[in-house]
Amino acid sequence: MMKVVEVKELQRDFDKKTGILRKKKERITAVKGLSFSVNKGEIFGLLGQNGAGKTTTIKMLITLLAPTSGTCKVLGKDVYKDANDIRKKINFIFGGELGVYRRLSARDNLLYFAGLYKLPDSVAETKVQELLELVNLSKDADRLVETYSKGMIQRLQIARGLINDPEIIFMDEPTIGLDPIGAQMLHNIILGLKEKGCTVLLTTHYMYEADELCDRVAIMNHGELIALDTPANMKSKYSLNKDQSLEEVYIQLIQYNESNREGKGGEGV
Amino acid sequence: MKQFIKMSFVDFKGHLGPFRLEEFLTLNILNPFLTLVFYCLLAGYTYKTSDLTSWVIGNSFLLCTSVCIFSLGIVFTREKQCGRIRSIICSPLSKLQIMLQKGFFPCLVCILTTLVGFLLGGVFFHVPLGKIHWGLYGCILGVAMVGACSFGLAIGAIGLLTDQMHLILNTVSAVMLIFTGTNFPVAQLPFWGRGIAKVLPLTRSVEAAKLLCDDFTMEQIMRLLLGEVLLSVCYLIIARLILVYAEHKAIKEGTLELF
Repeated sequence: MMKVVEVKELQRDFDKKTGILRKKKERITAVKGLSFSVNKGEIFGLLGQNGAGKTTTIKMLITLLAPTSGTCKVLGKDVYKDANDIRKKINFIFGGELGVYRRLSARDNLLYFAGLYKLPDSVAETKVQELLELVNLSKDADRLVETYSKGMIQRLQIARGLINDPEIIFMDEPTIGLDPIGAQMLHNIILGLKEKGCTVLLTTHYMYEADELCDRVAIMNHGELIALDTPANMKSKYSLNKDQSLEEVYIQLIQYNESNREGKGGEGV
Repeated sequence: MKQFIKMSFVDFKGHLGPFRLEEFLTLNILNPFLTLVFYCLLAGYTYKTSDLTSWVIGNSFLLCTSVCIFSLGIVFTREKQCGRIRSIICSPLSKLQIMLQKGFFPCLVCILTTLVGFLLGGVFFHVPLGKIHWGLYGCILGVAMVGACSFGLAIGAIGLLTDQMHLILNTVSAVMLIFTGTNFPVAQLPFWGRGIAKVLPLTRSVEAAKLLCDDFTMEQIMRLLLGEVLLSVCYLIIARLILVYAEHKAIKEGTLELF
């Protein structure tokens, strides 16, 4: 199986300076010794508490953040040295209302982003219409985005992320703000992408979503990997009782990790 | 080229595009015109003269600062604040092309603002508009605004590194007001001030435009215009270099999306 994402001993530190006269330097490690790989065509879930390092990991994978140490490769290329080679083959969707031009219509937004990916005019127009229909925004395509609801903006973000037919798509909490029908639509899109051979790496706080979609999931806590397996194996390996859901297993693993950290004075397991 | 103009227009609409005519007129015509009137009246009282041609020309050129400094200077900061910088940085389109697209329509607005400001100011302060060589004036205006917008983009690229853009833009605007020769002759500035004037956009264009209302030779105008063109190219190169440096530094330090 071809590995399209390879992460080995990945670490990312952030230095924070405080004080004017007596400057203090504080180092925060957001990702600590993380290792995993993602196979081509796989839907891979990155799960964890707020501040676990999921978004930092995604930012490194999409070339927006340089790793402090370790190896981080996408499509066989180094995310820092070969960023330009990677960028044209990937795309990303971040949850929330940021990332689009609110004073433009959805169509203009997508045409602009199509231009950023160098799509010729004729191709761009067809592609934009196709995507607007896919995310069910074609009726409102010419309305300004500032008049859109949260869910509609999120659907536009999804369309934006698909504009260049990426080989790998990174999604950071893509269902935030989506109603159940919108979330179901995104799930179908993700499964459709998998059928086409596209690799999806997503983070989510909704365990049922990870269980339903992901071929494998990795659970992170305090920047470290604490478990990695298929949702089914995860449930059978770590369940205390029969028929435990992924959410229950996830909570158990996090709590176990937290109590171990406390026992070890805050160090990882 | 068609796609460049299309993308530039969409970008302009998304950032600075006025949605109502009165918004455009107030922001880009009325407000700058009142600024011009203020400085011309100030010059009239200070120098006790009724011939305000030189100040009308100089201050009309300076009207572009509202767009080329305050709007273009904050363009990347705004992309950062609105979470769009990741799409721009991660796109395969050349960063120079993205910058030029961002500068194209604002440059046209600057030309329009300056021209209208000059015409209104000219009528208001009795500038002999009939004596002006309009063809040459158009060339000077175009070159000046390209230079000012290139300068604005170079300043704007710093926005990827700092969250103090308002401080920087206000300082730059004051520096342009003092050192470009619009209100105080460059020759009367101290030595170091003349040095600053030489590396600022508009200085040469303002001088060339002032010459149009006086005796001039074509050689004088062309020399000044060439200087302004070279300076514009330098600013575009600097803007590109700052953007490349800022991108790498922000990616290394993790500040690309901090604001």
